[in-house]
Amino acid sequence: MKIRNKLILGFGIIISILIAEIILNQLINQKANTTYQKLKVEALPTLYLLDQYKAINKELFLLTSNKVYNINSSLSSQNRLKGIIEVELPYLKSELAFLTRKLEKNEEIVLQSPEIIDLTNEIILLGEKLDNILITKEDYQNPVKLQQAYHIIENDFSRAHSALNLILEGLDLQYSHVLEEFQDKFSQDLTQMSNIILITGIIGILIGLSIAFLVIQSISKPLVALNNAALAVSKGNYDNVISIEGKGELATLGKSFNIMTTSLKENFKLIEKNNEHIKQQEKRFRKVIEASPSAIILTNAERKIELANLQAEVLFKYSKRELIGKSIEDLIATKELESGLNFKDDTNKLKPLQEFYALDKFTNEIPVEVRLNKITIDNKEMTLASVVDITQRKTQEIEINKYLEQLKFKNKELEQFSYITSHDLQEPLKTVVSFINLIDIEYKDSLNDNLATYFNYIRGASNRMSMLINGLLEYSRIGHSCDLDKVDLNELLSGIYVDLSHKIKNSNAQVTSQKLPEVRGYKLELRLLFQNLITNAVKFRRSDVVPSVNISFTEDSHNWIFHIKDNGIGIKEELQNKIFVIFQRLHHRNTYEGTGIGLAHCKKIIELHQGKIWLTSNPGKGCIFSFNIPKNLV
Amino acid sequence: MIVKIRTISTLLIFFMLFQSCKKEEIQEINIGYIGPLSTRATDLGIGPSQAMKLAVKEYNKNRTNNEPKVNLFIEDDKWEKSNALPSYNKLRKEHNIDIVFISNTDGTVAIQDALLKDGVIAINPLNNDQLLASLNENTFMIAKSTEEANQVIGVRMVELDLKNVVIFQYPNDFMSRAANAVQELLNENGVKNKIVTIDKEQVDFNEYLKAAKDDGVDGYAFFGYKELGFAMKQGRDLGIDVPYFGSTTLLSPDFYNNSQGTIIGTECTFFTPPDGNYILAHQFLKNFANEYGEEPLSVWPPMQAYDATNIVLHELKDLNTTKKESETFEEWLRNRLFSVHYYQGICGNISITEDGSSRGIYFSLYKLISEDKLIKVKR
Repeated sequence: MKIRNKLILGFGIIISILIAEIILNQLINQKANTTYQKLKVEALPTLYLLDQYKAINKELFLLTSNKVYNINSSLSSQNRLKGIIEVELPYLKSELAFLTRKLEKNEEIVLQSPEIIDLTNEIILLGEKLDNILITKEDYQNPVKLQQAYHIIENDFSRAHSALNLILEGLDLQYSHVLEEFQDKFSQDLTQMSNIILITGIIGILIGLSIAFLVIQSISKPLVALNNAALAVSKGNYDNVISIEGKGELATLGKSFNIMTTSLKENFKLIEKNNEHIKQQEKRFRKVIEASPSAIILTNAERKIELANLQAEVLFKYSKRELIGKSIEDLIATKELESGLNFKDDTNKLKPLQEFYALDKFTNEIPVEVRLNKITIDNKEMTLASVVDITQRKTQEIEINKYLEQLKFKNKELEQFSYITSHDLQEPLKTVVSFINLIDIEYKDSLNDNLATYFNYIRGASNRMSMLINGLLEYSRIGHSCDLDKVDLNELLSGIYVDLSHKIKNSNAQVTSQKLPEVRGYKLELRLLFQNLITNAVKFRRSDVVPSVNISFTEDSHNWIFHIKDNGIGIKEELQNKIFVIFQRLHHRNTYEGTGIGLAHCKKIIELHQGKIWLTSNPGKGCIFSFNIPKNLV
Repeated sequence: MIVKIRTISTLLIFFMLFQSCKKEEIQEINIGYIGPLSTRATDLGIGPSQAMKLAVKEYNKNRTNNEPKVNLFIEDDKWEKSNALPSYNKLRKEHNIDIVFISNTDGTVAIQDALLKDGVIAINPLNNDQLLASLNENTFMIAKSTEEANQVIGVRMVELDLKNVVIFQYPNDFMSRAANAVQELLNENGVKNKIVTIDKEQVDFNEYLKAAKDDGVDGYAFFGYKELGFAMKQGRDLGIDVPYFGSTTLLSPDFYNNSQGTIIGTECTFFTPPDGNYILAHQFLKNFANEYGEEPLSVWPPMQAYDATNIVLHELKDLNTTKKESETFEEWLRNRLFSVHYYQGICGNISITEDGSSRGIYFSLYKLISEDKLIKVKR
C-alpha cells in the first residue's frame, strides 16, 4: 500500500473517532444546554423574583406595623413605605407577569401567580388605606382612626401578608428543589460529557498510536534498509542492491536508489579515470617545471613561496620543503634590499626583467636575472618568477669590459702615436724640401738634366709625403677640435659652396640640396664630412655627362639620414668595402689625384657622431653615399 | 471581460437593493430644555440644565454606533409662562427637537397644543402634580409629587399644634397647588388658615404681616421665591417670632439675601442624597462637581433632572433596535416611557404610571440652619 493511502486510512480512522466524539459531545452538550437554559430562564429568575418579593413583603409589613404602632415613625420610613406601595410592589407584579408569560402553564408559579397578584393588590390597597388614615399626630390621637388602623394591620393586612408570604415561601422551597435538580442534572450532563471525552479520547489515542505504529513500521523498515544501503554507498560499496517489496513509494524509492548506485558506480569509475588523467597531466607539468633550466618560484600575495622547482633548490641551496612558505625577501641579498630593490615600476606594474644579487642558504650572493609574471590561480593573484644564474655572464662581461678598456687605451696610444709621428715627420720632410728648393735655386744651372729630374722626383715625392702626413695628422685630430653644438647644415653647406666654387665652376657641376635640418654635432668635422663627399662627387665625374650632385635627407624616430647622390663613375660592388680604408685608392693618382684618406675621414667623423656610413652604387651611373646622425646625440 | 462586468454589475445591484431594503437608522435626536436661567428661580433652571448636559455627555461618550447621538439645546424662560411657547417654537424651528424638558408647570400647560401638533414628547423634571397628570398623553412628569411634598408642611404644622396659620403664595400653579395641599390638610385637622396670594414683584408685606400678627397667627408659610425673603425679614422686624415654613424653593442665595438671614430656622420640604439612592446620588454630585467646579446649592432640581434625562436616554439606546417601521418616534417613546416600571435612579426607584406621572421620589422635612445648609427635622 502506498504511504499516502496508509496515512489517509490512519487519519480517516482518527477523524472518524473524533467525529463520533463530536456528535456525542454535541448531543450531551445540547442536553446540558437545555438544562442550563431551564436553570437560567426558569429556576434562577423565579427564585430571584421570589426572594425580592419575600423581602419586600416582609419590609412592607415591618414598615406598616411601625407606622401604625409608632406615633413618631420617621418621614424617611414613611417615604420608603410609599416607595414599596407605589413602585416596588407594582414592579414585582409586572415582573411576575412577565416571568409567567415565559414559563409553561403547568409551572407552579404560573398557577399561583393570580393569587399572588391578588394578594399584592390587596396589600397595596390596605397600605394606601393605612397611609390615608394616619397622617398627622392628631390622627394617632383619634381613637376611631387608631382602632381602624389596628384592625387593618392585625386582621386584613396580617392575613394578606401571611398568605402571600406562605405562597412565596412554598414556591421558594419548591423552586429551590427545582434549582438543585437542575444543578444536579447539569452537573451529571457535564460529568457524562467529560467521561465521553475521556473515553473516546483514550480510544482515539490508542487507535491513533496503533495506526501510527503500523504506519511507522511500514515506513521505517524500508527506510532502515535504504539508510544501510546509503551508508554502504558512502563507504564506496556500490554493489549493495536493496530489495523492497510492493508498489508503494518506498519500493519505487528502492528501485531509484539501485539505479542511482549503479549510475554512481559508473560515474565514480569515470571520475577515477579522469583523476588518473589529471594526475598524469600534473606529473608531466611537474616534469616540465622541474626540467626548466631556470629556477622557478611561485609566490602568493603575501610574497610567500608556494612552489619551487629543482633548479631553485640548486640555485638557493635550500630543499623544497625549506623553500615553501619562505618569504621571497629571504632570497635577496641584503645590499639589494637596503638599496630599495623594487619589483614594480612607476606605474605599479611588475618589471618584466630584473638583475640583482640573490642570496643562497649559505649567504652567498649570486647574480641573477629574474623574469616576473603575474598569474591568477584559483582566483588568487600569484607571481611567477623565472630566475637564471648569470654568474658566468657577469664574469664574461667583466672580462669584456677589461679588454674594452685596454683597447680604448691602445687606440688612444695609437692616435697619440699617429699624431706625434705625423707631426714630427713634417719637420725633417720640410727640411728635405727646403734643401731641395735651395739646391734648385742655387745650383739650378750646375745640375745636369738627370740630376734635375731626380730632384724633381724627390720634390714630388716629398710633397706627396707632406700631403700624406697632413692627411694623417688631420685624421688623428678628428674629434679633438671642440664640443657638441647645434649645427645649421644649410648655413654649413653655403660655406662649403663658397670654398668649392672654383671646382664646381670648372667642372660645370650642378650641386643642389633640399632644406636640411639643424642637428647636434661637431661643426668642423661635419663641414669636412660634407666637403669631402661633395668634392668626391664632383671629382669622380664622368666625362660625357654634366656632373650632378644632390643632397637630401630623410628621418626616422631616432635618426637624421642624409644622402649625397651623384651621377659619376660609380663604384663596383666588390670594391665598395675598400673605400673607407685609410690611404686606400681605387684609381691611379694620375687619373684622379688625392691621398686616399678622404672617405676614411668621413667614416671616422660619422663614427664620432655614433652613426654609420654606407654606399649604394650603380657602376657607370653614379652612387649614393648615405649616413645617419642620431637626433639626440649626447 | 464582459462576463466579469456583468457579474460585478449584478452584485452591485444586489448590494444597492439590500442597502435600500435595510431599515434606516436614526442617527441623531435633538432634545430641548426650557427652564429659568435668569431673573427668578434660577436654582430650578441652571442646576438642572447642567445635570442634563452631564447626562447627555455621559450618554454620548458611552453610546455604541447604532445608538443615536443626542444633542441638547437650552432656552431660558425666565420662569415666565409667557416665555414657554416662544422658547419651544424657537427650539423646534432652529433645532427640530423631538423631546422637550420643561420645568415650569404653567409653561408645560402653555405648550400642550404645540406638543400634540408637532408630535413632541414633553417631560417636566421638576413638578409632578394632578394638573400636569391631567394633560395630554405626550406629557410626562419625572419628579416628586407637588401636593405630597408640600403636604408634609401641613402635617408638621398639625404636629406642632399650630392654631392659626398664614400661607403667602406666589401666583403660579405650582405654588398654588402647594398652598392648597397644606390648606386642605389644615382644614381637615381644624387649623385656622389663610392663603395670601402675593404680587409677582411685591417686596412690601408689612400690611399683611401686621394684620396677621394682630390676628394671633402662630405660623407662617412662604410658598414662593426670592421676593418672600423680604416678607420673612419684615415679619421678624415686626416682632413676629413664630415658626416659619417654606416650600422646596427655599435654598436660594437671593432668598437668603432678601431675608437678611431671618430665613434661618425655617422648616421646608426638601430632598438630599440620603432620601434617594445614596451611593448613586453621591456619585452624581461628585461628577457634577468635577464637571462644573462645585456641587449645586439646591441639589434636588438637578438630581430630578438627571434622573428624568437618564430615563429618556436609557430608552433612546434601544431606539434603532425596537422602533417599528410603522411607529412614529412620538408613539415609540410614549409607549416606552409608559412601560418604565422600575428605574433605579439617583432620587430613588422610579416608575411611570399610566397618566404620565412618576412615583418613587419622596421629599422629607428639613430645617435651614445656615445660608446653604439644611438638616433633617427629627420628630
